[in-house]
Amino acid sequence: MNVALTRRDILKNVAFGAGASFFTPLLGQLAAHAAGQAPRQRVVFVVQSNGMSPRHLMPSGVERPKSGKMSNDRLEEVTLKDRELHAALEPLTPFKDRLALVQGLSGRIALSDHSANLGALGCYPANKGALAQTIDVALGEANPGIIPHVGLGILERPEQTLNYQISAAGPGKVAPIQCSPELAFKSLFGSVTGGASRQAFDRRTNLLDFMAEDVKRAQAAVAGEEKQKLDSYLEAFEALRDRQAKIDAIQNDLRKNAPKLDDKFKKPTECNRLEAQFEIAAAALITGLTNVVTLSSGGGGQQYIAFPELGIPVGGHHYGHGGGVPGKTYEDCFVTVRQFHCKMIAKLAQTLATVKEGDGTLLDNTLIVYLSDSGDGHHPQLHEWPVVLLGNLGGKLKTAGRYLQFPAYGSKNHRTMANFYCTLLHAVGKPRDKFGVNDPGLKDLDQTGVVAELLA
Amino acid sequence: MHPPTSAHTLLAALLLSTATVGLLTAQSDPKAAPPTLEASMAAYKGRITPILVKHCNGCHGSKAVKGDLDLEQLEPDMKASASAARWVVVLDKLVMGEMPPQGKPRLSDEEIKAVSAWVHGEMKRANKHLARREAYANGNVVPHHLLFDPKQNAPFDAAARLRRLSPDIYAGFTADLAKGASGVAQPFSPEGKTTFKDMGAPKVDEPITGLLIRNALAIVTQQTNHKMEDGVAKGVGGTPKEFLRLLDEKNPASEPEVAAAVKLQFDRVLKRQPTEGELAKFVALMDKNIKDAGRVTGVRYTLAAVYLLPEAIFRYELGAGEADAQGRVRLAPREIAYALAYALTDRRPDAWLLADADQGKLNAKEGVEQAVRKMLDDPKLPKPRIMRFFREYFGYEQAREVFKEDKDNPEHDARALVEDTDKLVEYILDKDKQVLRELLTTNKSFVAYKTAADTKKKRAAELAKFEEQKAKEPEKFKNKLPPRVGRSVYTAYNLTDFPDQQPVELPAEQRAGILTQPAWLVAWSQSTDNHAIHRGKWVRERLLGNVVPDIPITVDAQLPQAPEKTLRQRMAVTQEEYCWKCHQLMNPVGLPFEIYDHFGRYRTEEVVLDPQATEKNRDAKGKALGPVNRGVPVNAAGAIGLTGDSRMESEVKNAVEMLHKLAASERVEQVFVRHAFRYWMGRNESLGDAPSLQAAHKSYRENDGSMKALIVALLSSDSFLYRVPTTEKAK
Repeated sequence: MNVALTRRDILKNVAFGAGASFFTPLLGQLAAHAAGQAPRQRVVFVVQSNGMSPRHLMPSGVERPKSGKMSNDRLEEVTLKDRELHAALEPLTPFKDRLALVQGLSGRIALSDHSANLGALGCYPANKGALAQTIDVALGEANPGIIPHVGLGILERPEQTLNYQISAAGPGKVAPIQCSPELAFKSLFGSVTGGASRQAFDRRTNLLDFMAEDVKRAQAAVAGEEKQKLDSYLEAFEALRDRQAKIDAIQNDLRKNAPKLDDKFKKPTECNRLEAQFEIAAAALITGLTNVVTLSSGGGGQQYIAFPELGIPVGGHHYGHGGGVPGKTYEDCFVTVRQFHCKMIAKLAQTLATVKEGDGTLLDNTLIVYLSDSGDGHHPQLHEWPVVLLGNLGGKLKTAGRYLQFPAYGSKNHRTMANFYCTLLHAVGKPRDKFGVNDPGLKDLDQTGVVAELLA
Repeated sequence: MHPPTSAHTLLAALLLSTATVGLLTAQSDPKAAPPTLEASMAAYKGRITPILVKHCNGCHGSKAVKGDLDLEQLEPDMKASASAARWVVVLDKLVMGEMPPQGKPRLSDEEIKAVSAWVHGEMKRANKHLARREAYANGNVVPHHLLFDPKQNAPFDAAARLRRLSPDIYAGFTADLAKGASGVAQPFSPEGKTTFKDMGAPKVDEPITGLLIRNALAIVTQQTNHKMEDGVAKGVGGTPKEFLRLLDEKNPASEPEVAAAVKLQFDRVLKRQPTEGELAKFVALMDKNIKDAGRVTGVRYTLAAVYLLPEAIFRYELGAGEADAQGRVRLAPREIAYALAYALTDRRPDAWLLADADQGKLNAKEGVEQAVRKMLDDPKLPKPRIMRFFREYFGYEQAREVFKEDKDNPEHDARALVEDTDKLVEYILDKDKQVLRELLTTNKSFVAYKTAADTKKKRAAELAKFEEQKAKEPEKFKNKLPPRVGRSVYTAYNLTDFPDQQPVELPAEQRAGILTQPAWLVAWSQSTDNHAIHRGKWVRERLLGNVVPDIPITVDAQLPQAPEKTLRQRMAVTQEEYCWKCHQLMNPVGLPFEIYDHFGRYRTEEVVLDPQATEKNRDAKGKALGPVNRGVPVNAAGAIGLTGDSRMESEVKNAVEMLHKLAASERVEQVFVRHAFRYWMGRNESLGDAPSLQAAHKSYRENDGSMKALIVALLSSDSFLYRVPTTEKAK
């Protein structure tokens, strides 16, 4: 079916299809649907520092031994239906039927004191730098938007603008997480805002043009293989220029969907900054700028965030070591901070659910993966790495209201985070059966393959 | 890196880690979609089969099956079969010109191209990612005896080239210029499939370029740091006045002032003045940018462009001037200055070296020799590239990547072991006499040299404190031990305490050089065992200079899980005929290291499981109490053989004896020189390099095994200084 869609059609479509829509889906997305193509899959990683207690994932009626240590040698599953989420996850309640709360996947290879660093998304030792590509970047490459992977986050001080501890593009190559919402906004939406941003965006185009010309000149001086090296450099400038042009081409969509550059950006409280980054993420996904976003809140060795607005004016290290604040125990602190993050996730999901795509919404084609770079705690053990999954990636995953306790570390059916990441790669059509570095503590276990129980 | 459990998968992992890297770079080209099954099979039938029939099937088909290869039976559908690995080998043989054999007509370029395109397309469709070892990784393929044949007169063929900066050089470059600018990240990584890290032909692709632009802007932001006061830019933190002038709103910079700023940036970044043409282009860009984007942004984007010029990203080794009778051109003087600086340091050339270049002092071999000596003899000039050669050559640094369980040996401290071996190399280099022989035979060693004295002192203090408390309250301390301070790293060297004098002499029958240092032994081990195969491969390739063929990728043989057997017994499976073809090259020179355990400790017994005793090890109720081990006398016998040089071949009883034998061999010395050559040229040797290699070896010998002499010889050799230009005309 080849339907010529006009902007008017789309607007009509949106108006009739979903009255509540306030985001305009892209022309391209609708056209793709009309042409019978599967909608693009989106993945969002939310990586929060300071560990995620397995208890926060346990809905009402689920218990575990007092020691906290599991010994089940089979998958234990209960439905979330008729159960209440833990207070820490309460804001996710409206999405209960899209949630899978996953317990028991291990990640011991990345064990380190306060953060697995790149090992959290890479499944390799925490303190060896970028040994290989992390899963978020791999998924972005598998399913690229105009920008294959967008990293957004916050660090404790607003002037720390980049975090290099979460994502890696390849061996020895970190992928930056932009921790200034303002800079992130400028680089993603600068082309559609006035003033200095727009100018910087144009200058980039000028620079790319200039460099492309210059590299061409340099090429004239060499031949053969050496020329090819410059070809590749030239192609890089041209590709960047193309991307710039693509961004320019979707200006209208960008303008409609760009978050407002309001106080959130100007008044850099922690909550504001994080909220702003979530909004930028939503807009980047909706406009098709990217299909994969990593959102980090702190993260990387000892990088914690204090949230004075939530009544927690101290960093995570304080309550990670059992310290409370007036009126709150350390556990209250953990719960409060997690609730805030869940609120952000719920809002993001809500926003994506308002964007019509195919017969459903953008949320239907999305997966949000919420975990900590420090696994199961401030001082993690990583025998299990709690993960909250929201969404099913266009029906590729089975996440409809499930609480899953996978077989314990050391038992024969045990699965690891590497298996989980392989599962995601299978779900986006880039199957891989090995990810990262094997856990030597599990040398008798076949560590390859997927977590079959999660695949639809 | 965690070594997988089987020897073969390990080797495969080693070789295939390169494939992963290749894959990553390949992925950045999204344009090439894999063919469909139908298209691929049609291409196979229509285009490939006729080529195979014409050139190959006579020996590798139904009429004859040489080399166990029947191309008529080799499944073209790589997804439905395990044929991909064989196809890669087939392609490799064709590309390298090894097949068809000598005397038979070669495939035409077009035919090779067709086979290559089909194999790669089908592999992509089948989602198989197998990389053959690139020429950069397998330098030993050039026959040793031909390289060192004094009559060798193959034509010189070092091609003109551009080399991307190494990650280390880029880091040095930005550290020089950025002065604390935030947000500068390393865009480069080693290619990963080469013998040494700074070899090969890495590309600058789009993600890298994105980072380069980001870095350039971050550095320029720092360079132009200022605050505005009444429309006048005031510098913050040493901003040069030339740049400040550009930022002045009230009284904008004149054209000569813009030119001055561009010149300054060229000088900083490229250490040269712009040509007139360049200057005009940059002045125009500045003008355009300021008009379009406002002053600050415009200025920054213009200055950033200088960092992105190809000359700032690539090392130029193109040569200049007229070709000589052999068709060679000499590197331009400035190219030589840069090449020399990057040979020894990670920094751009010092002013004196550039001045030497500009004054023509590097135009003759003697001038280059002098410059190299001057750098080598300058104690203030850091020369990290020399140590890096030894680290990469021996590979002992990798000890830090090998995961060991703390409970298996709480005294293990890989970092300290690597530091000790670093120090030993430095110590030998400092003496600069018979360097290789010392590296292979010395029984001297450093032992946690950085912390030994301190730890010893702290331990004594803690012990004294403990004894004092114990004397006061004997009851309370009756069953307590003094607190543990630091790790007893000396146990790795079979000592009983930290030595007071460093280096210490270890028993000569236990240790002989770097290969018997715990760091090296750990680096070539697995997390719970020795890795005799990797060790043997190392000796075979890096001392004997032979080629170990690639592991057939389809092979997934595992060493049996048999804790009651020694490693040698478990490796018996590799003696099956099919395996032994390759393993005979590795096992006999790897097993002699069985006199050490996988933490590098000398041993006379190997610990294995005692099944009978384990079975009996039960409590009164019959509950198993766990495994019981027993010691088996170590058998470390091996042999130096299949080297191509009968003078050095013999049986050996262990690693120490083997290393002394190897150290006395001229061939081993030559193989070492070959590796130094590869490292300092950044490429593998070819027969055309024979005169350079032979001269370098001669110089090393005549100067009593001096590393300095070897480096001077290499860096002033024709192979270093000359190139054959690859112009379209020359083709």
